Amino acid sequence: MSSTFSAAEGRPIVAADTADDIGEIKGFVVDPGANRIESVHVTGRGRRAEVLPWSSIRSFGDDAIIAEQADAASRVADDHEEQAVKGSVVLRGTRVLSTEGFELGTVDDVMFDPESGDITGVLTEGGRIEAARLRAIGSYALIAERT
Amino acid sequence: MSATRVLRARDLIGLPVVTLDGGEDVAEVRDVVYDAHEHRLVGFTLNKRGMLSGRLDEVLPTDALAAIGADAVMIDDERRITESGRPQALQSTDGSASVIGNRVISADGTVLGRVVGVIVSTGDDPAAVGYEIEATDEAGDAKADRAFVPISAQIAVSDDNLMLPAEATDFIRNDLAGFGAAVDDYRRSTLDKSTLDKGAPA
Repeated sequence: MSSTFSAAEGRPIVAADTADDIGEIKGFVVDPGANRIESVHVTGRGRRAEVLPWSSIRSFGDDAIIAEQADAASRVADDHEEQAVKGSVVLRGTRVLSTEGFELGTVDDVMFDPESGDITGVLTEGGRIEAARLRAIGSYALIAERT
Repeated sequence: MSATRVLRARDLIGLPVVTLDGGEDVAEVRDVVYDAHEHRLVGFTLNKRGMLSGRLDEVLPTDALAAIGADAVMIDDERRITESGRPQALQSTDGSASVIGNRVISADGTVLGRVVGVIVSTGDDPAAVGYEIEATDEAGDAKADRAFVPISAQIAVSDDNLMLPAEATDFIRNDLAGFGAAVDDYRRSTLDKSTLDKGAPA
């Protein structure tokens, strides 16, 4: 089972305890070291942005995301989150460099496992790059091992 | 195995220096430091990244590189950039020597042209592998023709001339794309030869 960032964006986020809409998926904050989704950008912009930690998501559905509690989303806590929601660490559009220093394309979309939040791969115009080949996700480039 | 891809050393200027562990651009190549006497790529001086980029004190010696590509110079991590507090990091045997502009003469006494650039190999073992030559006519004026000659230990260089060994002549190419394969062939042939020489009775 796999989803993509572009397919998931815009999905409403509903709180399990109150049944309130608390926002919609505006973007993703990725843990660059672990190749995992850290949190989901729910509402607001810049310093006022609110993110929902992946651990507070009960279910990542095809039509809606169920959060544990209505107050689970919180203001961006650190610089990395703030940069991510501001759009300075966006995966899509980021160049992909081989470990040898050759550009392999730019990221069109990101695939992830909606159960675990793990990044399973990225899609470029040149094809799919599996997560196992991703050596680093940086603000300048994704670094991919040669096949 | 695919042929070695080669690049002009001057095309490395301005390339970002990117970390393998973080995917961050930590510097960019300001200039290429080359040792003409040893035909050796010594390293790079660096600029900061960004619009108003100034010079970085730190330098990047060749042995600290992970790879050189057409789009980036790769290093394992930011610590590979050494502080120029250690000036020997980029010291060449003779900093004043330059090969650019030298006349290129073949073993049979033909002037092929003059050196206009250094060619480096890409990949995880980057090195200087050749020279780009601008052909000159009999009056010494530049012609449009370009040629690429492989570097070997037998090549001799003075302040004015670059003498090609006879066996290098077969590996001169007119296109940069085909020169990578010629470099591979040349290395193989000199390797075979040295193996033969060692095996021959004294």
